[in-house]
Amino acid sequence: MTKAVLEFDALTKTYGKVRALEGLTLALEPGPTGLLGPNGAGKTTLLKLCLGLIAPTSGSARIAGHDPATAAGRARLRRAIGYMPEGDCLVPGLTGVETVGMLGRLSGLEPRDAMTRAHEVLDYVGIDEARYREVVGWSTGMKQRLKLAQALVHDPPLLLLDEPTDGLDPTGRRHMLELVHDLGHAQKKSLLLCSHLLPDVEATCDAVVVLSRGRVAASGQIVDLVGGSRPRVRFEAIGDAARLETEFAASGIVHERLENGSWSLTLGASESGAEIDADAALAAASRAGARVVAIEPERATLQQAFLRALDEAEAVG
Amino acid sequence: MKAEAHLEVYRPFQGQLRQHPRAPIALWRAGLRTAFRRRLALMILLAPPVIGTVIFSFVVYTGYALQEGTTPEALGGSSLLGQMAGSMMRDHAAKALDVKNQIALFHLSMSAFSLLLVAWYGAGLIADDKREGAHLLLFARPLSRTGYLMGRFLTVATFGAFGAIVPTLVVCTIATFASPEWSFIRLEGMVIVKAVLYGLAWVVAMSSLVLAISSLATRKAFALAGTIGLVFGLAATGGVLTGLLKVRAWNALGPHMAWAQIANNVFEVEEPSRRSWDMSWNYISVASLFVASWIVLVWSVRRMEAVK
Repeated sequence: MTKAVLEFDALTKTYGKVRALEGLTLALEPGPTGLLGPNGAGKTTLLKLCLGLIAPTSGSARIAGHDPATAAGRARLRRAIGYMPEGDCLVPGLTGVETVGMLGRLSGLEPRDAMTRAHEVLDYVGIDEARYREVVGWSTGMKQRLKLAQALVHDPPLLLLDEPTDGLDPTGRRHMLELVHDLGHAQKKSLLLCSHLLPDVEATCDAVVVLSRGRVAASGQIVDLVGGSRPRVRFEAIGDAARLETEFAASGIVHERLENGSWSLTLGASESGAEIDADAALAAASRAGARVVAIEPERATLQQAFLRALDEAEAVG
Repeated sequence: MKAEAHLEVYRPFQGQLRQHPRAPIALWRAGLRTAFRRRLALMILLAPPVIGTVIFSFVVYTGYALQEGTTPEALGGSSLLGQMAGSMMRDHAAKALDVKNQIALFHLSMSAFSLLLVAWYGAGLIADDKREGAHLLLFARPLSRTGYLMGRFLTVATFGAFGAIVPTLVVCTIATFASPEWSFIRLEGMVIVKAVLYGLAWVVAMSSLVLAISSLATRKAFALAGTIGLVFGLAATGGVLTGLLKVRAWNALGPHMAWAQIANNVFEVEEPSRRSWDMSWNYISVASLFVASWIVLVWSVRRMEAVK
């Protein structure tokens, strides 16, 4: 089994009477992981706990093998983490290359290495001559890329990215997602991507953690979460809808009428144990005298899985 | 031509990260780099200390020149008026010769400019970090609160040194070379040590005060106004209390007055009794402000690292 890069054990963080995180127990394996959740779910609190910027009320955490509760542990884990915060976080008065170079030095790079690395990572994120200008006045896209560059300057194995595509235009967003995907897959970085944009997470991450009210609502590989339920097909037929519904019910096919008049059918093993496949649906349509127009696999999106996880968490909590 | 979806190659870092990065030095260099980029402001703010240094150096040089036997005629010319002027200069020479006097006078006349220099460059250091969110980037690094404070403190103290230590060292250097047979070094060498120590104390105290106010403010302009307002407000309060309570020691409440008295005491300048009070009040005033500044600083920076 791969060693977890982020481990939380009964982690709780409260702000007065508000519980931002409640008994969070989780182990994340290396690789790109998305961190999802509605506003106030505890995502940003979790990121700051990872960095040791705030202390948990109770419970413990191990980040890249280090304990953020101790000063020595914090220093070590911050060398192992690259953090890209949300919003305009810039060091006033410095140019792009000076900003990245200085932050590299603070991470433990020698002055010469810091400057070399600053140029390398700025090349990587696609900031050209603008790096010699003061950061004030840069576009949002360039600032986002600069924040990614500073997170990479000391080449950390773990990246914490908080809303990296926030405020970007479509081109900038695509570029940023390409960079994040490259880092998570080609460069084999472990990354925790916190985003409200589910397609961004789907495009760049292999695994996902869904937080709701400070608890884990769902976690696992995106493939499993999205396709975890039985396969569904969209079934479109012309004919008597009532008869068709009766035939579906008689065949034990779980069905749902969609707004556009087509059906969503659930295949696989039914509750009675019988195997339901597309042929069974076609036979039911034939018995109902309906003419089948289309039958195609219905792929669940991460958004559906996300909403389902939130609904289940809501029902439990 | 660059492709639209161009991706540069990511190059992994092959070297080693230093276990104990010299964070204060990195922050200090970054602070200086930022400050020196604003050349006009720097020239304007450094002009008064530079002019003061030239004037006081000239006075000290003239004093030693007179001591070396330059006649009033040589100084003022052969005319009656010139001889009178030369005579007056020689009469005044005894005082002008006293480098201690000059240094104390320098601090007295230049402290407002030096404070402005420190405040201008220090006011934004922490306030802007908070406003721009730079503290999130900084504290995500292996940077301790002490390292952060030291880095910012070194930056502001450097400008304080330009205003309060370097000029007095220049004056002392002129005195050293102008004095006959190195008499300044031989007889009054301690003045250099005192000048450095006094300047250091002033820089440390004022830099701490400016940084503390910066850590409470949300932007540089507020911190700048807060610093000037506090210094003059305390002086005004001290003056009012002195008037109301008829106790001169209340004047020590104003940092400017307290430091002036301390300078006179350190450089052994005689002060008319009506303008002086128990020295201990000056030290208490300065020390209280210093301690309060660091309490505020530590508290504020602790809150900066423990991001809400």
